Amino acid sequence: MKRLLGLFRQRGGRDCGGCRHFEDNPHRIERMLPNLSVLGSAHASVAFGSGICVLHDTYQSDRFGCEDWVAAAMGAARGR
Amino acid sequence: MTPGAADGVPAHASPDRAWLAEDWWAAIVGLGVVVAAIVAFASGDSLNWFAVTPRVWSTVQDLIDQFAGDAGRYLALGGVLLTVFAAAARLMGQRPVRFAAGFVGVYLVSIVILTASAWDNSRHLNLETPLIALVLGLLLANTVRLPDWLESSLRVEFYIKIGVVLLGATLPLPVIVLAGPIAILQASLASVVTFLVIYNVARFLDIDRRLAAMLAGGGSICGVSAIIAIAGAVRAKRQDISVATTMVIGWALVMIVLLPLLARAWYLSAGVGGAWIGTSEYADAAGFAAAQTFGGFARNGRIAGTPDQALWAYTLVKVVGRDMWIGVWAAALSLIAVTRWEPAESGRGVDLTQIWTRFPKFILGFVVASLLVTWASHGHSFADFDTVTRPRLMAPIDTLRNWAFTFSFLSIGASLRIRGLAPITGNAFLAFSIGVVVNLVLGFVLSAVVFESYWGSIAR
Repeated sequence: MKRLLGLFRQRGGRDCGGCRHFEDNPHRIERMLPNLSVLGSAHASVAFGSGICVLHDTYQSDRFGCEDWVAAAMGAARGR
Repeated sequence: MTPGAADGVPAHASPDRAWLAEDWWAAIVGLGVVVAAIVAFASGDSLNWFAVTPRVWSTVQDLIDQFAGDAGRYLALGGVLLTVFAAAARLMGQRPVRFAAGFVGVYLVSIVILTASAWDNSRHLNLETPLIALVLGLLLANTVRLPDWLESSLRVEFYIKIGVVLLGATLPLPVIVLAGPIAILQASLASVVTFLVIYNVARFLDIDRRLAAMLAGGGSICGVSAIIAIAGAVRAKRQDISVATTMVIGWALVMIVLLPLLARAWYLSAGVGGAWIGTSEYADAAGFAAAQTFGGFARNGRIAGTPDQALWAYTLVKVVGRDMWIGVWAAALSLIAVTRWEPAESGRGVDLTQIWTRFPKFILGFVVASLLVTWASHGHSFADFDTVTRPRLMAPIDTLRNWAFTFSFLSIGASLRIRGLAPITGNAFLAFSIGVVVNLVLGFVLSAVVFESYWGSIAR
């Protein structure tokens, strides 16, 4: 139970939302995922908080993190 | 490619991106139209002058006379739509001038599409608006190189969400309240069973679990939107998203044609067919294309019921029954990914707030639109409804909804580059297609047998 509850606790700091390698601009995401906009949209609520890790070529929530985290440039990183 | 390097667009979205999401703007635009219609109605007027659309015609002279007489109305409607959509595009971070230039093209081609479907022979040939729009869009996208500025206005989801909000205005709130539980039950049964079938068959065929989850979500919940939500929750490979998207797009296009034909061949009534389409189609826009096509058969007397029943039943099952729960699915899969698929050291928690953040906000607009119009029309008698309320309040909203849907259907075809579709493996195709068959059969049983009496008489 403790482990289960621990899963829902916020783990902040070095997450993808603040990483230089993370692309969450919907316009660019749609360019990087061809045909996504045929029947979907990176601007939609369902896509909120997700983006592309250009380093690992994955699509994920901005709450992920990994050891390759690099701080985004000043002024570009998102706050919460 | 480093984010933000080449095109001058900021690398990261602003912190308040939630308020710029497409869903909210679709709800705002749609509700703006509804409020304007109510205000006009309450003051003894209507939006009918703006809500122009090609009327049935037989000869070229009919057409010339129509457009000569209504030229001012088409210009006014186009001007208002251009202004509103360009403003929304700007607030969503797009370049408004590029969008506006593109939208002029979308509007003009839509006039051609609506004119073609208004030709009296189109009805005999079953050439409904969605099919004409889709085919024309596909031809344009795959035979000529469309300029970037046109592509920026091909917003399938934005237009269809506006259309859904306007559809809500013509659906009485009591119907939504009463039908909601049945729609949710039917859709949930079909979604859970189909998801499990596709996922387990995919895993049996050694497909990566994340791809299996996306295929299963795309085939059971809501197409590409589900793929994106699940991909974000489980950290999917970018290439796998393209594979899953290709699968959904391919089958969604097939279903646009197949579902209405099958439903008609089996003499399903408008409401029953609409519910079946709502259970079996993958994406909202594709489903509306199928449902509107099927509703066209009712208008032509080929099936029992009314065109509205097909659209309403579809919307209740698909939007209320399936779309609403996408955040729940994403959270559930996120929990599974964290507890079973990833190393404990990944350091990632499960984010339950995504149940709300991923919730398709345009559904709120749909319900509010219904509430507003139900309230605005409640003081009128039943007799008044057909002679006053429907022609002066609902008819213009219907017409504008038809425009929004047409923009969306055209955008589907015009956005699709067949050569750009990702190659798919035989195993992925097999797993997904088995799910397609299961979903079709289950959806048919639920719509045409278990809940037939309900859908067959919806809103009557």
